[in-house]
Amino acid sequence: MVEEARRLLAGGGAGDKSLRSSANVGRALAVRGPNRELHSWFVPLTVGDRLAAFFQFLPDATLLRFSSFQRRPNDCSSCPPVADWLDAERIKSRAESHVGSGETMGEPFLSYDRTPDRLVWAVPFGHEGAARLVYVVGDTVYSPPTGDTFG
Amino acid sequence: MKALSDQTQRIAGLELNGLRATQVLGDEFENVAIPRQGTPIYDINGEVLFYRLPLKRGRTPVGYADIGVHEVLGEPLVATSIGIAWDEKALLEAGTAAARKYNKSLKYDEVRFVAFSFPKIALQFLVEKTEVLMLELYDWEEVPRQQSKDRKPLEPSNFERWSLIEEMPDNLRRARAKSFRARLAIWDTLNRRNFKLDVVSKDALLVRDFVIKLVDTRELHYSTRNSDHFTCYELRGQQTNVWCVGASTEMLLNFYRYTYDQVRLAQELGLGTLAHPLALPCANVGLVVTVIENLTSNSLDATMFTNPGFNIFRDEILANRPLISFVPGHSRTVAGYTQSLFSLVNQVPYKGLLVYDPWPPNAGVITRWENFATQIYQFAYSAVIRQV
Repeated sequence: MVEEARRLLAGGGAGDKSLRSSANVGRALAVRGPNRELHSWFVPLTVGDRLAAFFQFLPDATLLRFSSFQRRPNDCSSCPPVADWLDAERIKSRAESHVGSGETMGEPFLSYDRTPDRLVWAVPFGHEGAARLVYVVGDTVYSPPTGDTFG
Repeated sequence: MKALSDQTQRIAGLELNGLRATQVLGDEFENVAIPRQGTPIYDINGEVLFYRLPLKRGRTPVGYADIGVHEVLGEPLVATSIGIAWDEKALLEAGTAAARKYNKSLKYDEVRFVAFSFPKIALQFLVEKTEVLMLELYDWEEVPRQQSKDRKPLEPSNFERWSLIEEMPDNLRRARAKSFRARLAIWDTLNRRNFKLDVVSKDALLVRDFVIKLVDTRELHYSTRNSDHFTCYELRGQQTNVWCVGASTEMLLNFYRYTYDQVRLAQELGLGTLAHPLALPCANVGLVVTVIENLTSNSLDATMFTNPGFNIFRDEILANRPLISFVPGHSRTVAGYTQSLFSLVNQVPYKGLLVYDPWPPNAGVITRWENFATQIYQFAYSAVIRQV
Protein backbone atom coordinates (compact mmCIF):
# COMPACT_ATOMS: atom_id res chain seq x y z
CA MET A 1 0.00 0.00 0.00
CA VAL A 2 2.85 2.35 0.85
CA GLU A 3 4.47 1.68 -2.53
CA GLU A 4 1.17 2.32 -4.30
CA ALA A 5 0.80 5.57 -2.35
CA ARG A 6 4.32 6.63 -3.34
CA ARG A 7 3.60 5.75 -6.97
CA LEU A 8 0.38 7.79 -7.03
CA LEU A 9 2.03 10.75 -5.37
CA ALA A 10 5.11 10.72 -7.60
CA GLY A 11 3.07 10.20 -10.76
CA GLY A 12 0.73 13.10 -10.05
CA GLY A 13 -2.26 10.79 -9.53
CA ALA A 14 -2.79 12.36 -6.11
CA GLY A 15 -1.60 15.45 -4.27
CA ASP A 16 0.05 18.55 -5.67
CA LYS A 17 3.61 19.66 -6.41
CA SER A 18 4.24 20.94 -2.90
CA LEU A 19 3.21 17.61 -1.34
CA ARG A 20 5.34 15.69 -3.82
CA SER A 21 8.41 17.61 -2.74
CA SER A 22 7.76 17.92 1.00
CA ALA A 23 5.62 15.06 2.26
CA ASN A 24 6.79 11.84 3.88
CA VAL A 25 4.76 8.71 3.22
CA GLY A 26 4.21 6.98 6.55
CA ARG A 27 3.59 3.33 7.28
CA ALA A 28 0.19 1.90 6.45
CA LEU A 29 -2.27 1.45 9.31
CA ALA A 30 -5.15 -1.04 9.17
CA VAL A 31 -8.61 0.50 9.35
CA ARG A 32 -10.88 -1.99 11.11
CA GLY A 33 -14.63 -2.20 11.41
CA PRO A 34 -16.29 -2.14 14.83
CA ASN A 35 -15.79 -5.92 15.08
CA ARG A 36 -12.13 -5.47 14.18
CA GLU A 37 -12.48 -6.94 10.71
CA LEU A 38 -10.06 -5.39 8.20
CA HIS A 39 -11.82 -2.75 6.14
CA SER A 40 -9.07 -0.75 4.47
CA TRP A 41 -5.56 0.71 4.83
CA PHE A 42 -4.72 4.25 5.89
CA VAL A 43 -1.46 5.66 4.52
CA PRO A 44 -0.53 9.04 6.05
CA LEU A 45 1.38 11.86 4.35
CA THR A 46 3.12 14.06 6.88
CA VAL A 47 4.85 17.42 6.50
CA GLY A 48 6.96 18.12 9.57
CA ASP A 49 4.76 17.52 12.62
CA ARG A 50 1.54 17.90 10.64
CA LEU A 51 -0.70 15.33 9.00
CA ALA A 52 -1.17 16.91 5.59
CA ALA A 53 -3.14 14.21 3.80
CA PHE A 54 -3.80 10.50 3.61
CA PHE A 55 -4.69 7.71 1.24
CA GLN A 56 -7.27 5.07 2.02
CA PHE A 57 -7.03 1.80 0.10
CA LEU A 58 -9.25 -1.27 0.12
CA PRO A 59 -7.40 -4.53 0.97
CA ASP A 60 -7.09 -5.33 -2.78
CA ALA A 61 -5.25 -1.98 -3.22
CA THR A 62 -8.24 -0.24 -4.83
CA LEU A 63 -7.92 3.46 -4.03
CA LEU A 64 -10.89 4.45 -1.90
CA ARG A 65 -9.88 8.08 -1.60
CA PHE A 66 -7.10 10.62 -1.31
CA SER A 67 -7.97 13.26 1.28
CA SER A 68 -6.10 16.40 2.19
CA PHE A 69 -6.31 18.62 5.25
CA GLN A 70 -4.67 21.43 3.29
CA ARG A 71 -6.99 24.24 2.27
CA ARG A 72 -4.40 25.62 -0.16
CA PRO A 73 -1.27 24.19 -1.75
CA ASN A 74 1.73 24.38 0.53
CA ASP A 75 -0.40 25.56 3.48
CA CYS A 76 -0.31 23.27 6.51
CA SER A 77 -1.87 25.73 8.96
CA SER A 78 -5.16 23.83 8.92
CA CYS A 79 -3.54 20.40 9.21
CA PRO A 80 -3.81 18.53 12.53
CA PRO A 81 -0.73 17.50 14.53
CA VAL A 82 0.58 14.07 13.49
CA ALA A 83 0.42 12.89 17.10
CA ASP A 84 -3.35 13.43 17.21
CA TRP A 85 -3.73 10.78 14.54
CA LEU A 86 -0.76 8.48 14.85
CA ASP A 87 0.38 8.44 18.48
CA ALA A 88 -1.42 5.71 20.46
CA GLU A 89 -0.44 7.29 23.79
CA ARG A 90 -1.98 10.64 22.76
CA ILE A 91 -5.17 8.83 21.70
CA LYS A 92 -5.32 6.94 25.00
CA SER A 93 -4.75 10.07 27.07
CA ARG A 94 -7.65 11.75 25.25
CA ALA A 95 -9.90 8.74 25.94
CA GLU A 96 -9.04 8.69 29.66
CA SER A 97 -11.71 11.25 30.45
CA HIS A 98 -14.34 8.66 29.44
CA VAL A 99 -13.10 5.78 31.60
CA GLY A 100 -15.84 4.59 33.93
CA SER A 101 -15.24 3.29 37.42
CA GLY A 102 -13.48 -0.06 37.40
CA GLU A 103 -13.01 0.01 33.63
CA THR A 104 -9.72 -0.83 31.98
CA MET A 105 -8.58 0.64 28.69
CA GLY A 106 -7.41 -1.59 25.82
CA GLU A 107 -5.23 -0.77 22.83
CA PRO A 108 -6.79 1.70 20.40
CA PHE A 109 -7.34 0.68 16.80
CA LEU A 110 -8.08 2.83 13.77
CA SER A 111 -11.73 2.41 12.84
CA TYR A 112 -14.68 4.40 11.54
CA ASP A 113 -17.99 5.70 12.82
CA ARG A 114 -20.68 4.12 10.59
CA THR A 115 -19.12 5.17 7.30
CA PRO A 116 -15.43 4.88 6.29
CA ASP A 117 -15.45 8.65 5.72
CA ARG A 118 -15.58 9.16 9.47
CA LEU A 119 -12.25 7.79 10.56
CA VAL A 120 -11.84 7.50 14.33
CA TRP A 121 -9.62 5.74 16.81
CA ALA A 122 -11.72 3.16 18.64
CA VAL A 123 -10.60 2.68 22.23
CA PRO A 124 -11.94 -0.46 23.92
CA PHE A 125 -13.01 -0.23 27.55
CA GLY A 126 -13.79 -3.34 29.61
CA HIS A 127 -15.19 -4.13 33.04
CA GLU A 128 -16.18 -7.57 34.39
CA GLY A 129 -16.75 -9.08 30.97
CA ALA A 130 -18.67 -6.10 29.58
CA ALA A 131 -17.01 -4.21 26.74
CA ARG A 132 -17.65 -0.92 24.98
CA LEU A 133 -15.86 1.39 22.59
CA VAL A 134 -15.09 5.06 22.82
CA TYR A 135 -14.19 7.01 19.69
CA VAL A 136 -11.39 9.55 19.57
CA VAL A 137 -10.83 11.90 16.64
CA GLY A 138 -8.53 14.84 17.18
CA ASP A 139 -9.63 16.38 20.47
CA THR A 140 -13.17 15.06 20.13
CA VAL A 141 -14.06 12.03 22.27
CA TYR A 142 -17.48 10.37 22.16
CA SER A 143 -19.40 7.13 22.45
CA PRO A 144 -20.62 5.41 19.27
CA PRO A 145 -24.00 6.86 18.35
CA THR A 146 -27.14 4.79 18.59
CA GLY A 147 -30.16 5.13 16.31
CA ASP A 148 -30.47 6.08 12.67
CA THR A 149 -29.06 9.55 12.35
CA PHE A 150 -26.83 11.64 10.16
CA GLY A 151 -24.21 13.37 12.23
CA MET B 1 -11.82 0.69 -45.82
CA LYS B 2 -9.60 -2.05 -44.54
CA ALA B 3 -11.16 -5.14 -42.96
CA LEU B 4 -11.10 -5.01 -39.19
CA SER B 5 -8.84 -8.06 -39.04
CA ASP B 6 -6.21 -6.05 -40.98
CA GLN B 7 -6.37 -3.16 -38.54
CA THR B 8 -5.69 -4.96 -35.28
CA GLN B 9 -2.25 -3.38 -34.80
CA ARG B 10 -3.62 0.12 -35.41
CA ILE B 11 -6.61 -0.36 -33.10
CA ALA B 12 -4.45 -1.94 -30.42
CA GLY B 13 -2.01 0.96 -30.75
CA LEU B 14 -4.73 3.57 -30.30
CA GLU B 15 -6.45 1.76 -27.44
CA LEU B 16 -3.32 0.85 -25.49
CA ASN B 17 -1.73 4.25 -25.98
CA GLY B 18 -4.95 5.95 -24.87
CA LEU B 19 -4.97 3.88 -21.70
CA ARG B 20 -1.26 4.52 -21.20
CA ALA B 21 -1.73 8.29 -21.55
CA THR B 22 -4.40 8.21 -18.83
CA GLN B 23 -2.17 5.96 -16.67
CA VAL B 24 -4.83 3.24 -16.62
CA LEU B 25 -1.91 1.18 -17.90
CA GLY B 26 1.22 1.52 -15.80
CA ASP B 27 4.94 1.81 -16.51
CA GLU B 28 5.16 -1.92 -17.21
CA PHE B 29 3.51 -1.22 -20.59
CA GLU B 30 5.98 1.48 -21.62
CA ASN B 31 7.90 0.66 -24.83
CA VAL B 32 6.14 -2.64 -25.37
CA ALA B 33 5.92 -3.54 -29.08
CA ILE B 34 2.60 -4.33 -30.77
CA PRO B 35 2.81 -6.82 -33.69
CA ARG B 36 0.99 -6.51 -37.01
CA GLN B 37 -0.82 -9.80 -36.58
CA GLY B 38 -2.14 -11.96 -33.82
CA THR B 39 -3.84 -15.28 -33.21
CA PRO B 40 -7.50 -15.49 -34.26
CA ILE B 41 -9.70 -16.65 -31.38
CA TYR B 42 -12.98 -18.16 -32.52
CA ASP B 43 -16.39 -18.46 -30.93
CA ILE B 44 -17.61 -22.05 -30.87
CA ASN B 45 -20.04 -21.13 -33.67
CA GLY B 46 -17.02 -20.67 -35.96
CA GLU B 47 -16.89 -16.86 -36.18
CA VAL B 48 -13.75 -14.97 -35.16
CA LEU B 49 -14.34 -13.08 -31.90
CA PHE B 50 -10.99 -11.38 -31.39
CA TYR B 51 -7.28 -11.50 -32.18
CA ARG B 52 -4.74 -12.08 -29.43
CA LEU B 53 -1.65 -9.98 -30.17
CA PRO B 54 1.54 -11.02 -28.38
CA LEU B 55 3.22 -8.00 -26.75
CA LYS B 56 7.02 -8.01 -26.69
CA ARG B 57 9.80 -6.01 -25.11
CA GLY B 58 12.71 -6.46 -27.49
CA ARG B 59 12.52 -10.13 -28.41
CA THR B 60 10.99 -11.21 -25.11
CA PRO B 61 7.24 -11.94 -25.02
CA VAL B 62 5.81 -10.10 -22.01
CA GLY B 63 2.04 -10.12 -22.44
CA TYR B 64 -0.83 -9.82 -24.87
CA ALA B 65 -3.68 -7.62 -26.05
CA ASP B 66 -7.02 -9.00 -27.20
CA ILE B 67 -8.51 -6.92 -30.01
CA GLY B 68 -12.14 -7.65 -30.79
CA VAL B 69 -13.43 -7.89 -34.34
CA HIS B 70 -16.94 -9.05 -33.44
CA GLU B 71 -19.41 -6.39 -32.37
CA VAL B 72 -20.88 -8.62 -29.68
CA LEU B 73 -17.83 -7.76 -27.54
CA GLY B 74 -18.99 -4.14 -27.22
CA GLU B 75 -15.48 -2.61 -27.35
CA PRO B 76 -12.47 -3.27 -29.58
CA LEU B 77 -10.05 -3.70 -26.69
CA VAL B 78 -11.20 -6.81 -24.88
CA ALA B 79 -8.31 -7.32 -22.47
CA THR B 80 -4.61 -6.78 -22.04
CA SER B 81 -2.08 -8.22 -19.68
CA ILE B 82 1.58 -7.98 -18.84
CA GLY B 83 3.12 -10.95 -17.07
CA ILE B 84 1.52 -13.80 -18.99
CA ALA B 85 3.25 -14.14 -22.34
CA TRP B 86 1.38 -15.42 -25.41
CA ASP B 87 3.37 -17.82 -27.59
CA GLU B 88 1.08 -19.30 -30.24
CA LYS B 89 3.67 -21.67 -31.66
CA ALA B 90 4.63 -23.14 -28.27
CA LEU B 91 0.98 -23.60 -27.34
CA LEU B 92 0.22 -25.39 -30.61
CA GLU B 93 3.14 -27.75 -30.02
CA ALA B 94 2.16 -28.45 -26.43
CA GLY B 95 -1.52 -28.88 -27.36
CA THR B 96 -0.74 -31.20 -30.23
CA ALA B 97 1.48 -33.34 -27.99
CA ALA B 98 -1.32 -33.50 -25.42
CA ALA B 99 -3.84 -34.45 -28.11
CA ARG B 100 -1.62 -37.38 -29.15
CA LYS B 101 -1.89 -38.69 -25.61
CA TYR B 102 -5.67 -38.82 -25.95
CA ASN B 103 -5.54 -40.42 -29.37
CA LYS B 104 -2.27 -41.52 -30.94
CA SER B 105 -3.83 -41.79 -34.39
CA LEU B 106 -5.67 -38.47 -34.18
CA LYS B 107 -6.19 -36.99 -37.62
CA TYR B 108 -7.01 -33.34 -38.22
CA ASP B 109 -6.60 -30.77 -40.96
CA GLU B 110 -7.04 -27.58 -38.93
CA VAL B 111 -6.40 -26.36 -35.40
CA ARG B 112 -8.16 -23.30 -33.95
CA PHE B 113 -8.00 -21.37 -30.73
CA VAL B 114 -11.58 -21.23 -29.48
CA ALA B 115 -13.15 -19.17 -26.69
CA PHE B 116 -15.26 -22.17 -25.67
CA SER B 117 -16.50 -20.43 -22.52
CA PHE B 118 -15.56 -16.79 -22.96
CA PRO B 119 -12.92 -15.78 -21.96
CA LYS B 120 -11.59 -19.34 -21.39
CA ILE B 121 -9.72 -20.63 -24.43
CA ALA B 122 -9.19 -24.14 -25.82
CA LEU B 123 -7.49 -25.73 -28.82
CA GLN B 124 -9.98 -27.21 -31.25
CA PHE B 125 -8.85 -29.94 -33.66
CA LEU B 126 -11.00 -30.25 -36.79
CA VAL B 127 -11.38 -32.40 -39.87
CA GLU B 128 -13.23 -30.71 -42.72
CA LYS B 129 -14.56 -28.05 -40.32
CA THR B 130 -15.87 -30.70 -37.90
CA GLU B 131 -14.44 -30.95 -34.41
CA VAL B 132 -12.67 -34.14 -33.43
CA LEU B 133 -11.19 -32.98 -30.11
CA MET B 134 -11.08 -29.87 -27.90
CA LEU B 135 -8.51 -29.38 -25.14
CA GLU B 136 -8.51 -26.50 -22.67
CA LEU B 137 -5.35 -24.40 -22.84
CA TYR B 138 -2.52 -25.06 -20.39
CA ASP B 139 -4.06 -27.98 -18.43
CA TRP B 140 -4.99 -29.79 -21.68
CA GLU B 141 -8.15 -31.34 -20.23
CA GLU B 142 -10.74 -32.38 -22.82
CA VAL B 143 -13.70 -30.00 -23.02
CA PRO B 144 -16.95 -32.04 -22.87
CA ARG B 145 -19.17 -31.87 -25.93
CA GLN B 146 -22.52 -31.95 -24.18
CA GLN B 147 -24.17 -28.67 -23.21
CA SER B 148 -26.69 -28.34 -20.39
CA LYS B 149 -30.29 -27.80 -21.42
CA ASP B 150 -33.00 -25.68 -19.87
CA ARG B 151 -30.63 -23.09 -18.49
CA LYS B 152 -30.77 -19.33 -18.94
CA PRO B 153 -28.57 -17.77 -21.66
CA LEU B 154 -25.15 -16.58 -20.47
CA GLU B 155 -25.37 -18.74 -17.33
CA PRO B 156 -23.36 -21.86 -18.25
CA SER B 157 -22.19 -24.41 -15.72
CA ASN B 158 -18.49 -24.84 -14.99
CA PHE B 159 -16.39 -26.14 -17.87
CA GLU B 160 -19.42 -26.07 -20.19
CA ARG B 161 -18.89 -24.91 -23.77
CA TRP B 162 -21.19 -22.14 -24.91
CA SER B 163 -21.35 -19.50 -27.61
CA LEU B 164 -21.03 -15.85 -26.62
CA ILE B 165 -22.38 -14.83 -30.02
CA GLU B 166 -25.38 -17.15 -30.00
CA GLU B 167 -26.40 -16.59 -26.39
CA MET B 168 -26.20 -12.82 -26.29
CA PRO B 169 -29.76 -11.42 -25.85
CA ASP B 170 -30.88 -9.22 -28.74
CA ASN B 171 -31.17 -6.00 -26.73
CA LEU B 172 -27.69 -6.44 -25.29
CA ARG B 173 -26.30 -7.38 -28.69
CA ARG B 174 -27.70 -4.18 -30.21
CA ALA B 175 -26.33 -2.03 -27.40
CA ARG B 176 -22.91 -3.64 -27.66
CA ALA B 177 -22.83 -3.30 -31.43
CA LYS B 178 -23.65 0.37 -31.08
CA SER B 179 -20.86 1.05 -28.58
CA PHE B 180 -18.42 -1.04 -30.64
CA ARG B 181 -19.13 1.01 -33.76
CA ALA B 182 -19.01 4.28 -31.82
CA ARG B 183 -15.55 3.46 -30.53
CA LEU B 184 -14.30 2.52 -34.02
CA ALA B 185 -15.79 5.73 -35.38
CA ILE B 186 -13.59 7.70 -32.96
CA TRP B 187 -10.51 5.91 -34.23
CA ASP B 188 -11.62 6.33 -37.87
CA THR B 189 -11.46 10.10 -37.45
CA LEU B 190 -7.74 9.70 -36.83
CA ASN B 191 -7.01 7.81 -40.05
CA ARG B 192 -4.93 10.62 -41.53
CA ARG B 193 -2.92 11.15 -38.39
CA ASN B 194 0.55 9.79 -38.49
CA PHE B 195 0.82 8.24 -35.04
CA LYS B 196 3.44 5.68 -34.16
CA LEU B 197 1.17 2.82 -33.19
CA ASP B 198 3.45 -0.22 -33.15
CA VAL B 199 4.70 0.57 -29.67
CA VAL B 200 3.08 1.63 -26.37
CA SER B 201 4.26 4.97 -25.07
CA LYS B 202 2.67 7.47 -22.74
CA ASP B 203 3.44 10.23 -25.23
CA ALA B 204 2.36 8.43 -28.41
CA LEU B 205 -0.90 10.38 -28.74
CA LEU B 206 0.58 13.69 -27.64
CA VAL B 207 1.28 15.35 -30.98
CA ARG B 208 0.87 18.90 -32.15
CA ASP B 209 -2.62 20.14 -33.06
CA PHE B 210 -4.24 17.05 -31.68
CA VAL B 211 -6.36 16.90 -28.55
CA ILE B 212 -8.03 13.72 -27.43
CA LYS B 213 -10.30 13.87 -24.45
CA LEU B 214 -9.20 11.18 -22.04
CA VAL B 215 -10.96 12.37 -18.92
CA ASP B 216 -14.20 14.24 -18.33
CA THR B 217 -13.79 16.40 -15.25
CA ARG B 218 -15.13 19.62 -13.76
CA GLU B 219 -14.98 21.54 -10.51
CA LEU B 220 -17.10 24.46 -9.37
CA HIS B 221 -16.06 27.77 -10.90
CA TYR B 222 -17.22 31.33 -10.48
CA SER B 223 -19.86 30.60 -13.14
CA THR B 224 -20.71 27.92 -15.67
CA ARG B 225 -17.91 29.29 -17.89
CA ASN B 226 -14.94 27.03 -17.43
CA SER B 227 -12.63 29.93 -18.25
CA ASP B 228 -13.77 31.66 -15.02
CA HIS B 229 -11.60 31.20 -11.98
CA PHE B 230 -12.00 28.37 -9.53
CA THR B 231 -12.08 27.03 -6.83
CA CYS B 232 -15.08 29.04 -5.70
CA TYR B 233 -15.77 26.81 -2.76
CA GLU B 234 -14.60 26.53 0.82
CA LEU B 235 -14.35 23.71 3.36
CA ARG B 236 -16.00 24.00 6.78
CA GLY B 237 -15.24 21.48 9.52
CA GLN B 238 -18.19 20.38 11.62
CA GLN B 239 -18.10 22.07 15.01
CA THR B 240 -19.31 19.01 16.94
CA ASN B 241 -19.11 15.31 16.24
CA VAL B 242 -22.82 15.28 15.19
CA TRP B 243 -23.13 18.44 13.11
CA CYS B 244 -22.08 17.19 9.68
CA VAL B 245 -25.46 18.22 8.24
CA GLY B 246 -25.09 21.70 9.68
CA ALA B 247 -21.57 22.05 8.28
CA SER B 248 -22.65 20.72 4.88
CA THR B 249 -25.56 23.15 4.72
CA GLU B 250 -23.20 25.96 5.73
CA MET B 251 -20.85 25.10 2.84
CA LEU B 252 -23.68 25.06 0.30
CA LEU B 253 -25.15 28.33 1.55
CA ASN B 254 -21.70 30.00 1.68
CA PHE B 255 -21.31 29.18 -2.01
CA TYR B 256 -24.37 31.34 -2.70
CA ARG B 257 -22.95 34.04 -0.34
CA TYR B 258 -25.36 33.37 2.53
CA THR B 259 -23.49 33.47 5.81
CA TYR B 260 -25.17 31.39 8.49
CA ASP B 261 -23.00 29.80 11.15
CA GLN B 262 -23.47 26.25 12.35
CA VAL B 263 -25.06 27.32 15.65
CA ARG B 264 -27.86 29.06 13.76
CA LEU B 265 -28.19 26.23 11.25
CA ALA B 266 -28.38 23.73 14.11
CA GLN B 267 -31.26 25.72 15.52
CA GLU B 268 -33.10 25.52 12.19
CA LEU B 269 -32.29 21.87 11.60
CA GLY B 270 -33.14 20.73 15.13
CA LEU B 271 -29.53 19.83 15.94
CA GLY B 272 -29.47 21.27 19.47
CA THR B 273 -26.78 23.62 20.74
CA LEU B 274 -22.99 23.58 20.96
CA ALA B 275 -23.27 22.41 24.56
CA HIS B 276 -25.92 19.77 23.76
CA PRO B 277 -25.57 18.90 20.07
CA LEU B 278 -27.87 16.41 18.34
CA ALA B 279 -27.63 14.48 15.09
CA LEU B 280 -30.25 14.71 12.35
CA PRO B 281 -32.69 11.78 12.62
CA CYS B 282 -33.17 9.86 9.36
CA ALA B 283 -36.86 10.73 9.48
CA ASN B 284 -35.94 14.42 9.12
CA VAL B 285 -33.90 14.27 5.91
CA GLY B 286 -36.48 16.44 4.15
CA LEU B 287 -35.76 19.27 6.57
CA VAL B 288 -32.60 20.18 4.67
CA VAL B 289 -34.72 21.35 1.73
CA THR B 290 -37.00 23.39 3.97
CA VAL B 291 -34.12 25.07 5.79
CA ILE B 292 -32.24 26.02 2.61
CA GLU B 293 -35.37 27.57 1.13
CA ASN B 294 -36.42 29.33 4.36
CA LEU B 295 -33.02 30.81 5.09
CA THR B 296 -32.78 32.23 1.58
CA SER B 297 -36.34 33.56 1.54
CA ASN B 298 -37.00 31.05 -1.22
CA SER B 299 -34.36 32.58 -3.47
CA LEU B 300 -32.92 29.09 -3.60
CA ASP B 301 -35.15 26.30 -4.81
CA ALA B 302 -33.77 23.14 -3.15
CA THR B 303 -34.27 19.59 -4.36
CA MET B 304 -33.63 16.26 -2.63
CA PHE B 305 -32.52 13.26 -4.72
CA THR B 306 -32.95 9.75 -3.32
CA ASN B 307 -30.22 7.19 -4.18
CA PRO B 308 -28.50 9.61 -6.57
CA GLY B 309 -26.50 8.14 -9.42
CA PHE B 310 -23.26 9.59 -10.77
CA ASN B 311 -25.11 11.53 -13.48
CA ILE B 312 -27.00 13.57 -10.86
CA PHE B 313 -23.69 14.76 -9.40
CA ARG B 314 -22.17 15.34 -12.85
CA ASP B 315 -25.15 17.31 -14.17
CA GLU B 316 -25.33 19.55 -11.10
CA ILE B 317 -21.60 20.32 -11.20
CA LEU B 318 -21.88 21.07 -14.92
CA ALA B 319 -24.61 23.56 -13.97
CA ASN B 320 -22.14 24.99 -11.40
CA ARG B 321 -24.14 23.90 -8.38
CA PRO B 322 -22.63 22.19 -5.32
CA LEU B 323 -24.47 19.31 -3.71
CA ILE B 324 -24.92 18.03 -0.19
CA SER B 325 -24.37 14.26 -0.20
CA PHE B 326 -25.71 11.92 2.49
CA VAL B 327 -23.95 8.58 2.93
CA PRO B 328 -24.78 6.15 5.76
CA GLY B 329 -24.54 8.13 9.00
CA HIS B 330 -22.77 11.10 7.45
CA SER B 331 -23.16 14.17 5.29
CA ARG B 332 -20.63 15.97 3.08
CA THR B 333 -20.69 18.25 0.04
CA VAL B 334 -19.62 17.63 -3.54
CA ALA B 335 -17.84 20.28 -5.60
CA GLY B 336 -16.52 18.38 -8.61
CA TYR B 337 -16.42 15.13 -10.54
CA THR B 338 -14.10 13.18 -12.78
CA GLN B 339 -14.63 10.20 -15.01
CA SER B 340 -12.26 8.29 -17.21
CA LEU B 341 -13.35 8.04 -20.83
CA PHE B 342 -11.05 5.07 -21.35
CA SER B 343 -11.38 1.67 -19.75
CA LEU B 344 -11.01 -2.00 -20.48
CA VAL B 345 -14.09 -3.87 -21.63
CA ASN B 346 -16.16 -5.26 -18.75
CA GLN B 347 -14.41 -2.85 -16.40
CA VAL B 348 -16.32 0.14 -15.12
CA PRO B 349 -14.52 3.38 -16.05
CA TYR B 350 -13.20 5.22 -13.00
CA LYS B 351 -15.65 7.74 -11.59
CA GLY B 352 -14.79 10.01 -8.72
CA LEU B 353 -16.23 12.92 -6.76
CA LEU B 354 -14.49 15.93 -5.27
CA VAL B 355 -15.81 15.83 -1.72
CA TYR B 356 -15.58 18.63 0.85
CA ASP B 357 -16.02 16.57 3.98
CA PRO B 358 -16.63 18.28 7.34
CA TRP B 359 -15.15 15.26 9.17
CA PRO B 360 -13.04 15.27 11.33
CA PRO B 361 -14.61 17.86 13.65
CA ASN B 362 -13.15 21.37 13.51
CA ALA B 363 -10.96 20.44 10.55
CA GLY B 364 -12.55 18.58 7.63
CA VAL B 365 -10.79 17.17 4.59
CA ILE B 366 -10.91 17.70 0.86
CA THR B 367 -11.11 14.35 -0.89
CA ARG B 368 -9.89 14.34 -4.48
CA TRP B 369 -11.23 11.88 -5.56
CA GLU B 370 -13.71 9.67 -3.79
CA ASN B 371 -14.10 6.43 -5.73
CA PHE B 372 -17.78 6.46 -6.68
CA ALA B 373 -17.90 2.68 -6.92
CA THR B 374 -17.01 2.24 -3.25
CA GLN B 375 -19.55 4.47 -1.54
CA ILE B 376 -23.30 4.23 -0.85
CA TYR B 377 -25.09 7.43 -1.81
CA GLN B 378 -28.41 7.72 0.03
CA PHE B 379 -29.54 11.29 -0.61
CA ALA B 380 -28.26 14.37 -2.37
CA TYR B 381 -29.43 17.97 -2.29
CA SER B 382 -28.87 20.81 -4.68
CA ALA B 383 -30.28 24.29 -4.96
CA VAL B 384 -31.17 26.42 -7.97
CA ILE B 385 -31.33 30.20 -7.80
CA ARG B 386 -34.79 31.41 -8.75
CA GLN B 387 -34.54 33.93 -11.56
CA VAL B 388 -36.96 36.57 -12.72
